[in-house]
Amino acid sequence: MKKITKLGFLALTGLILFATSCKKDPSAKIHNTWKLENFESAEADSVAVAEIINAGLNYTFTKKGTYNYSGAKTGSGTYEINEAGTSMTTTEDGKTDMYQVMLTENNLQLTRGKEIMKFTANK
Amino acid sequence: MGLFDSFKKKVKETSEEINPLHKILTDANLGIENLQVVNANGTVTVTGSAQEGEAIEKVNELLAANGVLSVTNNLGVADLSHLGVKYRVATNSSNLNCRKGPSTDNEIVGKFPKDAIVQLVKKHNATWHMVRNDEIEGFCHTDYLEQVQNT
Repeated sequence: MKKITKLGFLALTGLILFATSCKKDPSAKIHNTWKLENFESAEADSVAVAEIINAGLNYTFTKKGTYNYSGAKTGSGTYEINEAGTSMTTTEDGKTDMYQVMLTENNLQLTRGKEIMKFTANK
Repeated sequence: MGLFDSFKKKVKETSEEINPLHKILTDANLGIENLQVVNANGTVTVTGSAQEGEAIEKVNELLAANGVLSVTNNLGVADLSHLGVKYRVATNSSNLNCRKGPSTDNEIVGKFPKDAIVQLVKKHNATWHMVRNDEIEGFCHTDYLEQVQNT
């Protein structure tokens, strides 16, 4: 009886460890290609923003910590996102910026001060 | 530059491509921040923040020179208080009048004594600056303001 209890305990522990190891960080949702839907900024010319968004601009964030974008503009950089998926830094051409992040399976929103970029996931 | 700034650079380039007037005003180096030029229904609306008030008049001149007949100029003069630029009142002996607006036609709102230190608020033009101390804020003639070196 004691042996069975011990085996059961080991099995349960293993199951918990397995389940934990398989759990994805919330931040992993960012590994996708995202279509820019909107950019809100008091500084930016809204007509020009609309022009770019209509032309299409897609950002891809890879598991390796790099991102690139293509469409109306091309470029690339590196990024770091915290495990909770709530804050991110990007570095491009040697300059680093920090953003607040709101991330779901289908939507990504980056905020810096009063500026907001909104994306939807490309499926 | 980071992700946002890279995008904003593209916005600026696009703005200049689709709106030649934006490029004309940018190239004039008028010191206008957040410049936006929207051309709609025959009226050009300009918004932004000019470092000096003279830039606002220059915008009207440049647009007129480029055939723009109708302009809504919503440019404002930037508040430069944060720069901490200070002036000494450099009158010979009398007080310096501080006026409600940038001309001697405007009413006097107060007087600064000789050698008083005042802070720059806005540069309306080369002749009139808005300055203040703890009690008074208004426009003074720049002939009687001597910039104090920041320490």
